[in-house]
Amino acid sequence: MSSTAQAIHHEEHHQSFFERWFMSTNHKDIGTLYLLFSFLMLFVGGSFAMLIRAELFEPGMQLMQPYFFNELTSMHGLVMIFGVIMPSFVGLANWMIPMQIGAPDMALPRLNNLSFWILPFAFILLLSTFFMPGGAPAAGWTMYPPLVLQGGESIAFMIFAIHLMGISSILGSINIIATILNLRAPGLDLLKMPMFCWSWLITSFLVIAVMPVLAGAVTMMLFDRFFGTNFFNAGAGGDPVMYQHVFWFFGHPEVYIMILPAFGIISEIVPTFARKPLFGYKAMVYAIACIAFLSFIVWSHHMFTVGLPLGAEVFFMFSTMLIAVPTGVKIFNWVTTMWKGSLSFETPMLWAIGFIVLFSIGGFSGVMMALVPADFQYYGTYFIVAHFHYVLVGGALFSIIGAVYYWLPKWSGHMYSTFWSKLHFWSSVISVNVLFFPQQFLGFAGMPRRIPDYNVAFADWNMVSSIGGFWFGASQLILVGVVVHCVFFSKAKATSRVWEHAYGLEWTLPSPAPHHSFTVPPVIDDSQLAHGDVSH
Amino acid sequence: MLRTSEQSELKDAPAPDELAQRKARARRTAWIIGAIAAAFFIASLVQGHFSQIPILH
Repeated sequence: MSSTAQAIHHEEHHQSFFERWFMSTNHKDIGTLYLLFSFLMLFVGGSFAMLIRAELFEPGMQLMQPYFFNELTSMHGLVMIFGVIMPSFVGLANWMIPMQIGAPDMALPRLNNLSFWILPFAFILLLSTFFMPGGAPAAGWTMYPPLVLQGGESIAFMIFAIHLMGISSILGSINIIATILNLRAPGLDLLKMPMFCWSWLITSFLVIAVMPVLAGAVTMMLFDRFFGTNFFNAGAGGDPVMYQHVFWFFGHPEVYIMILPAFGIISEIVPTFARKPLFGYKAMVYAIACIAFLSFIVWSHHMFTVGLPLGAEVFFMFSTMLIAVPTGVKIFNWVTTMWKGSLSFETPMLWAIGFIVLFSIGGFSGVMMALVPADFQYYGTYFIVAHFHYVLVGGALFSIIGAVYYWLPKWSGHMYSTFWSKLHFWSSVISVNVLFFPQQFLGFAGMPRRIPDYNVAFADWNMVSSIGGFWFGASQLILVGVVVHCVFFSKAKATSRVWEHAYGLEWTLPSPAPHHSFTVPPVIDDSQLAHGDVSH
Repeated sequence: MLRTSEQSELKDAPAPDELAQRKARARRTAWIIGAIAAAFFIASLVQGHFSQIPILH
């Protein structure tokens, strides 16, 4: 045993609980922390959603004051975006990227620790605003002035929390870029990398480009609220619409930050269970890069109703519709990968297929909204709510759960219950449609979002939607049971490859993966890579 | 830097200090990317002075 290996062995077995989980620099431990944190936040943000759906179960005010309802909708959005979707993707990146590129760890392990431990403090700050005089910020997750500036002083805590979340995301992305560009095993060309690594490399650049812009927007807001500036105060020569431009210059790429890693995950799962190489690997890489580029030139489609000049509306309409092309390439390639494949429907594949169908529904309604005249009808209605929940729940969340079911045996060394995991899928996929499909009808009929009461004409579909919401929320408890059982009680050992047609460096490691992955860079054998042959 | 396929056929494990060199390179990468992020932050604060884009107003 080399001295390095001895040192690692020593470290692995002589860490106290505190040292391992609070001071860890190990990519797997930090990945686990990210995933546990986002799992916890899923239930925090989910409980807000349950309260919202309980209030909307029938017309009239039942359970809460309107202001508290607005606090819940605002915090639900912030928690789910910054506390669930983003950290869970970073957790998956931490776990898988070093293993997929043959690296011993992330390039900057201590920075990695810092990136994670910023997050709990950010969310303690954010959630503590519920208990402050004036309550939590209640102007929506988009925090538009002047409305948000009219709230209580808790806005300062929200802004500081957002700064911390941004710093965490930026540091995490710096680490991912530095790791992928510098620590790939010799011989692992960029165009031999797994799609998950590619999707995260591109996503990291998006994070680097836009999270500072959000920080800039909320910094200006902080100065407006507390230091007498008037960036967004129309009464003093400022421009509240400028906030919307700056916010959505962050906000639209943020949408892709939350979906590009999902594309990477689905591109890993589908070929494994179709028992075929991914169709059009290079096209998939270029499509992700193309989507990332286009995400910077479409932001004003979120603001068609503010009164943009006609030329701007036409430009942003067409640029938005253009995104459907590379996105369509991806959907086409996943379907073509499955075409004439030897398909089997293990749990991760079910979630991947669920993703493709539900994300397509959300994508189609997105193209509808790109049409300026139509958007004037949809703007501010439940049609928008249905659209982005199809994309973020049916898309991002489904891919994350699919990834957990795909890689959990590799992480834990045990197989999970097929019955319960498939029950989780079917219960989720049915309930998520009961929850969100009726919201499209409500939106078409004109029901406004972010309002706690509504016309009795909307009563029936709201009741159906709420039942779907409670059902979907309860279904996620199955995931808790499956994961806990798999990690602590399952006696079914996982093999190193786990899935019959899984290719890539991570599957060459034993299950569970050792504390340090590749202390010596692996010898690259193209036949063991998912994309060793890059001629297609 | 992209590795060529000829290089990829070199099956030798890297020398022990190569990992240290790569980590040093990774730190340089991190500083460069961090500087870009800081530039974007500053730009977002001062954009109002420079970006009077007629099409948006």
